[in-house]
Amino acid sequence: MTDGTLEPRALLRDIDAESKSIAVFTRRLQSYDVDASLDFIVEERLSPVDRAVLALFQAMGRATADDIRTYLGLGWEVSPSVVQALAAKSLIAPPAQDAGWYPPAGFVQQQWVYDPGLGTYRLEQVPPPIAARRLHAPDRAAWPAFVLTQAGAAALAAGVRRFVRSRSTRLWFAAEPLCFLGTSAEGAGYAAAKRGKPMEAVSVPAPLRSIDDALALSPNERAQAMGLREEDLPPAGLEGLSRCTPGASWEVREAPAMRDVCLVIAGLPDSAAGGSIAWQAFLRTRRAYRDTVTTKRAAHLETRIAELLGDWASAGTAALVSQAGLEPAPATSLDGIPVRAEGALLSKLLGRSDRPETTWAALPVVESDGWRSWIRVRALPASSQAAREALLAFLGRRRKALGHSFEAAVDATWSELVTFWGMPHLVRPDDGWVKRRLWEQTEMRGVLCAERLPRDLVTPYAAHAGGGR
Amino acid sequence: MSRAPIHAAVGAQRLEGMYFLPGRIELPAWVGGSAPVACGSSSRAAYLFTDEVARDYQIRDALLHLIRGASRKVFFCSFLFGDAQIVDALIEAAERLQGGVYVLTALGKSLQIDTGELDEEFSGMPAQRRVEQQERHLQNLDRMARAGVWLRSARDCHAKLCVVDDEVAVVTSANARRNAYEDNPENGVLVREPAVARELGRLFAHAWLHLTHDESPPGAALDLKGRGGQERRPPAFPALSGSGDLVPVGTVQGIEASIREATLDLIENARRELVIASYSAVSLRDHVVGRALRRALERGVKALVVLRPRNLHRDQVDTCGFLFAGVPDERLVVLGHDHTHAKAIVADGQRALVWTGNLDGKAGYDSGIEVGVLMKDPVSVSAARSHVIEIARRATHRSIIRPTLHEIAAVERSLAGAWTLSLPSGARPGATALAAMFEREAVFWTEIAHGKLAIRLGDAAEVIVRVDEPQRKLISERLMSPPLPERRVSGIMGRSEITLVEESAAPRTQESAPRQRRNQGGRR
Repeated sequence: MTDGTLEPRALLRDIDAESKSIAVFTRRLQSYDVDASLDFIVEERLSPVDRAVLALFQAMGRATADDIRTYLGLGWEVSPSVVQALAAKSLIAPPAQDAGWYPPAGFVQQQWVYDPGLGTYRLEQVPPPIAARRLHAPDRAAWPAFVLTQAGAAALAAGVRRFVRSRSTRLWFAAEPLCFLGTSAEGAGYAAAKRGKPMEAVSVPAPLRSIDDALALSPNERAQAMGLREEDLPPAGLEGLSRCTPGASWEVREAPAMRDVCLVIAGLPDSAAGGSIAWQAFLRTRRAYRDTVTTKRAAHLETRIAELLGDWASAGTAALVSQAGLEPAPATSLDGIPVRAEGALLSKLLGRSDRPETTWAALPVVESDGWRSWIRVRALPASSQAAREALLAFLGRRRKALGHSFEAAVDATWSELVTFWGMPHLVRPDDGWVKRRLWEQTEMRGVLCAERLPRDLVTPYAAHAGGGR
Repeated sequence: MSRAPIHAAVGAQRLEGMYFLPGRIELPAWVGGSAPVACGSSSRAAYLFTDEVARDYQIRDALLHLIRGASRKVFFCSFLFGDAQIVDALIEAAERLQGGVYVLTALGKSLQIDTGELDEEFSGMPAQRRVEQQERHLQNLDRMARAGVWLRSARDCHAKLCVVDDEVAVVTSANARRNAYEDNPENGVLVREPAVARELGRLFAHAWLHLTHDESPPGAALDLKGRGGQERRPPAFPALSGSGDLVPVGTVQGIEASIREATLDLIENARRELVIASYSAVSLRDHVVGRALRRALERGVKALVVLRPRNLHRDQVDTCGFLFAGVPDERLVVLGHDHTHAKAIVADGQRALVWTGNLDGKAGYDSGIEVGVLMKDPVSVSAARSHVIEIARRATHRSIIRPTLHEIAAVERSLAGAWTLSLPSGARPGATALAAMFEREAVFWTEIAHGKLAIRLGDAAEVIVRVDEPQRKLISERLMSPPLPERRVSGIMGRSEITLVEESAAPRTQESAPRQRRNQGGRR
């Protein structure tokens, strides 16, 4: 990430916080890839045959492949296979292996019913649902009998089968503070072959050493701990994440330079208390190979602002202005932190565009904590002379307008400045003074010459214009 | 095997046209006695001149006075800027007025464009001095551009003009060069009449706004930029207006030709005399001004003409021959002055035209940009007449009609003595015909490369030769008959003996060889 992208405007543009923020702190976070085997809760829709067979088991309490053939009309080839498949998925089981309900032979008067209030199944007396009739004559041979398991009853009620599937996944984390950043798909082919060795256990940052505990937390707790907010929008590939696969190990590597992340903490004026600041945290991730930058809120860090920023977290705007080496000005209703300046500093703080604007003034860099920080200031002139000098600076950026109509350009520029400053009482300097001062700037001479050209070369002879021959 | 050599004696033939030989003559009585030359000044105008002897630099003094007194704007037009005082004054004015100084000059490529007189002056200089002049000019332009002077260049702009505040103006023959203001006989008019100055300002403004093709914007280093939209037709330029004894005139690229009309008016209405100073007199044989001047001389109008003596300028030789041949000496005096650059026509001592052009039928009357002032007030007219006569008194050359070749060769760069011209076998025209041409025609030569000359035999032939100086041999490389269009002449063939030798070994005819080669290439 180049330094240019760490400028406050760039950092805040994506999150629509630029116009509201008055301070921003940012630092790069070291990020890591964690390769782990994860357990996911997977749902599989039951096929019509499975549903019919399970319903038969539910109706009969205990049944065999011959019952399936007899009542559902499936052939000799199919019925045993269906029974075998359902048994393999643990939806039915031999009677000895399940502590479930074993009704007498024949159609039953009771049924497992899902109770949403309890969140589980209960046994309920129901009238026989069907009037069954045999489609084939029963076989006299001794077929093994099966009964519906609890999992089978639940699957029949929901129409889906839930089960756990383990899958190797690469997760992208920042460790300090612990932040889930996303999943990584750079696992195949050449990229995989070029990967370095996993970090030694002692080198792995502490939060990642117990990542299995963190992942095994409930979704809400997990969101609090690492910002993995599954309930809002499950990260791609992590739908149904449950935990690390018990007994499986995980590997940690430093993320490649192509991916990087920085933590952005934006300060907004706290309306409740004058001069105090409310903080919001964001994670800005960049994947160079995709040329994508993503910025998302990191709400789980906002309870730790004091820990992250130290004294800065409680510093008011006055303290920040002082730290920036600027002179505070009385508060105004306009956005940005008001500061007083003159000369070149005032021009600089009014921005580089052709209109005055609030700008970001850097706070001193403290190398040890890695933070870079800025405050957004509204620069006000310290004197009327400073205001005039600022006018000259902005006129220098409006050469085209000056050449078109000098007076109108000066009027418009002055009007914008006093409006920006909230100082309508300031008196506009006269055109003679402005021209004299602009002429001192060699690069402005062309504009001044162009401005006077019609007066010198056109207007005096305009009376002849209609009299061509 | 060589054929017998043929000999030609060169130098005795007569040259058509008018030439100049060093020397002075007494001015005829009708010119009048020696009147003191003074700055003829009235409330509306003042005649200005450079007196290199008395070190009276009126033109520059007047320009400096005007520029330093400017309160609103300065228009200045000069092909070259070599005079530090004028440049400094323009810079100071731009600083003081915060702009408002507009200049028409030669920028970049314009320096190379053939502008007639100036190009002649330029090309006549030694190469080193020409480079120095150009460098000084560009340095001065750069200084002015940085200071806020707005520079533009217009094609064929030859005017030398300064207009200040539309109140006063100077029209002058002098470019803004030190030697023009101090060394050359130059002249001009200081216009104090605001109505006239304003008209001159209008002409300048029209040219500056609509007829320029390049510019260097003010407030930056000299930076040549083309101006877009020049293909658009410029707006109409209403004719210059003036009345009474001071009338502005001009030539504006075919849309204003009042200089031509004023010149014709002066010449055609002259009853007694014409006193004329010009750098040159060229291309007038088929021009209304030339025909009018010839008719005036034929009807008995006396004339005193001072020109720059340029024997190697074929056009001037021919034009002067057309204009002045056959006019009796008591009615016509044509003199040459090595440095004259003044431009004036004074008719009958009553009216005078001072302008920036020349007696030039190609440029200045119908095309290009020139300015002038037609004066009737006796003081200014008298001053103009006296000044031209004074230049004539200081003339360095007298004129001569139909001199012999060797008379002119004696005063110009020449090739003389015994030479052998070796020709290829079968060359056409042959040695005999060429020998006759050498004895009959005007023989001029042009140095086209180091050690290589183009020898022109009138309008009959041209021989490209390599010069073997130690052997006194001219080896023919190419022979053309008729010759190519005329080249700028470097020298003249003096009294000499040419031995023409036709070599036997040369296999090809020089004239047709290139065409043959092209044809063979085509067949392949």
